[in-house]
Amino acid sequence: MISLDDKVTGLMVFFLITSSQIGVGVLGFESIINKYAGHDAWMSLIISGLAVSGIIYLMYKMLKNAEKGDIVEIHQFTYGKWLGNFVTIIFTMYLLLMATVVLRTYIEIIQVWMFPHLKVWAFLLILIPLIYYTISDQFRTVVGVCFLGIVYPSLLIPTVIYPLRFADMNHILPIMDHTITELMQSSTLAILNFMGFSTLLVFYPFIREANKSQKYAQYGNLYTTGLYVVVCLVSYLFYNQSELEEVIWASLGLWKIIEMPFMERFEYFGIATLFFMILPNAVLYMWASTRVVHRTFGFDHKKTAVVLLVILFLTCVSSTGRVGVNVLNDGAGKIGLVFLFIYIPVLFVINLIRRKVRKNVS
Amino acid sequence: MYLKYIAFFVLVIVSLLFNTQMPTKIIDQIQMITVAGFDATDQDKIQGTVVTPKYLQQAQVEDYIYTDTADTVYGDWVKLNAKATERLLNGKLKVAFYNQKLAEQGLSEFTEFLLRDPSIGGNVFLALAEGSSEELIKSVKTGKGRGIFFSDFFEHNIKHGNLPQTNLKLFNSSLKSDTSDPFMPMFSIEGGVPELTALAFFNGDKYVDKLPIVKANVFKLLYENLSDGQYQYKSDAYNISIENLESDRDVVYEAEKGSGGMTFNVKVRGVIREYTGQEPTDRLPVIQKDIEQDLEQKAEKLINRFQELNIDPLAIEEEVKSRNRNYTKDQFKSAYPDMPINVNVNVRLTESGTRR
Repeated sequence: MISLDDKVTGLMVFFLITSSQIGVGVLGFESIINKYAGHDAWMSLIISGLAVSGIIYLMYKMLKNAEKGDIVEIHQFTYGKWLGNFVTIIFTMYLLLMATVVLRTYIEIIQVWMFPHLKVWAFLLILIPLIYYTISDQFRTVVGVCFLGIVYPSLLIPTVIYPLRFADMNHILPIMDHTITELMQSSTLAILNFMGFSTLLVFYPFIREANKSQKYAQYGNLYTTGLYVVVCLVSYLFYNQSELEEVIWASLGLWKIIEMPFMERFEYFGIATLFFMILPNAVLYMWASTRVVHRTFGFDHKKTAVVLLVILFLTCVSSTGRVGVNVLNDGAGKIGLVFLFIYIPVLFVINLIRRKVRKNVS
Repeated sequence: MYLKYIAFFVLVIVSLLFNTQMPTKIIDQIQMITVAGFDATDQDKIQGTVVTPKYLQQAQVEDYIYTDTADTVYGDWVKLNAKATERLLNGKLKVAFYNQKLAEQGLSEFTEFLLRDPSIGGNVFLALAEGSSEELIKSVKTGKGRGIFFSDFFEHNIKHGNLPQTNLKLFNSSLKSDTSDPFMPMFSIEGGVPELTALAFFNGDKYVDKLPIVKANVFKLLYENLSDGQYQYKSDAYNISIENLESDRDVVYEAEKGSGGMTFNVKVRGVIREYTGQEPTDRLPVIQKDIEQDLEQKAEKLINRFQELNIDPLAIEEEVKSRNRNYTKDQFKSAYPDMPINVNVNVRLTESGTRR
């Protein structure tokens, strides 16, 4: 049983959800989500936000009824021990993949914008002890990192005002020029930027009075959606759609226009600060996957962490270049979409049936 | 237990050791390019000229200028590096010149590298040089370095002069957009020093036409909101100069009129600074009317010229596209040359200085 000292208050769910959602995606999602909906794609973000809100509701419904309150138990209860554990392993692999995507994309950004000669493996050797330090002990350390992961980068939000000097309303007019289907198609692409909240399935038992914390989770999702919509709107006002086709990191490109007397390029400051946004992502995924393995097989938490970090290291190093990173991102996006919007509702239904059946038997 | 700490330190030290081998850029061992100029040469090559400042004692700058030709911009950089004492880097680039001949062939190949390089910002000023940009750069006489000279030059002309807001970001925006065409300021050498002489208009990335900078205030009125401009008007009866011009532009598109018509409503406020007639305050309505007519005439003439050349620096297509849900590219393209575009100017002279 998890002791009360290890648990965190409900308010922290806000920071956990938000910091797990906002990751590397925010730096360049504008030129990905406009594939179908063009200049209306900012509305797709709202649709995605609403959908995610629904999934969070489903997750809470499911978790509330589970005895120990995490995905390992839900799987074992729903599918039985063997099949359940098998599905849990797939879930762990998904978490690991997400951690890889986040770290590798961030390192790519450092390579492109700051240090082209950076060695990926050597840089990871600094990061991995840091991640190990955070995840190997109490959950509270992870929560602390997540808290700072919201507070520090929030200082960057006012910088979106600067590019508005070059904003042109005509770039997003006429509003609703695309069909609902196109908006929906774009919102499936936007989902990649919301995916981190699936770790809720793992950290749920670490929350005090967990079943009352749903509102904080919803607020967290609201914050993320709001932030994305603001960033997306500013980018769409700043760039025209044909310009966006050529830009890889549209949000970072917004900082290109900022000029300060004491700082020639703002991106360097921005990218460095964004590390605080990336770290909670990687840490939370790694912690969750370690925890899941620990719960399923009863392995030692610290040793599991070491093994998983070695796997993370190897997967990060083996994907190179823009193409490799893109394959990772696309793959993770598709898997995440299937996981969140097909698997979770299916699991919810099966879980519900199982519970009803079990109740009738006893 | 100690094993953990040892492992930590080994990892961190290995990481630092391998990453310290990264090439460094120490400020004393690099030369920052502030101005770059590109000229067309024969045999499809490009001639690049770069300026890098060397700071001597207090408030003294010496510019080093290097020139060479190559197939690509970066190929040129290699040759220039063979002439420079220290490594040349792009991070401080403020202004890029292209000569007219190069612009006639198309510029997008030579603005592309500016956008790809993460160390170059979006605020770089782009300009055309009538003749050779190398000579233009060399003709500058200044004590503050050519980079600062040109960027100050652009800034004050944009803020208070006839030059509309322009930079790399805006140029590229309208170049890439299917719905507008870019423009650029154009320099030439007058009496041995560089002078802003015209506004150059492009069709796609190819130079097609120019407008003398003294007449560019009309273009600026139609293109953006003025915050501090000026305007001169000469009639048979009097000459007048208006300063502190502020304007609001509002574009109205009426789709009902067949192929659609467009109206620019421009509101102008200004202050009289120079007047050669009798008591302007008594005759304000007449003067305002005169100026309104003059501006409308000039603006419509300018727009007709754009329509004849089939270029769209005012982003009229963008306006149509954003206001008309039935917009199609083909339909607009065929309608544009004969599209009725009206200009309504409303002038209000608020003050007349310290005299009646």
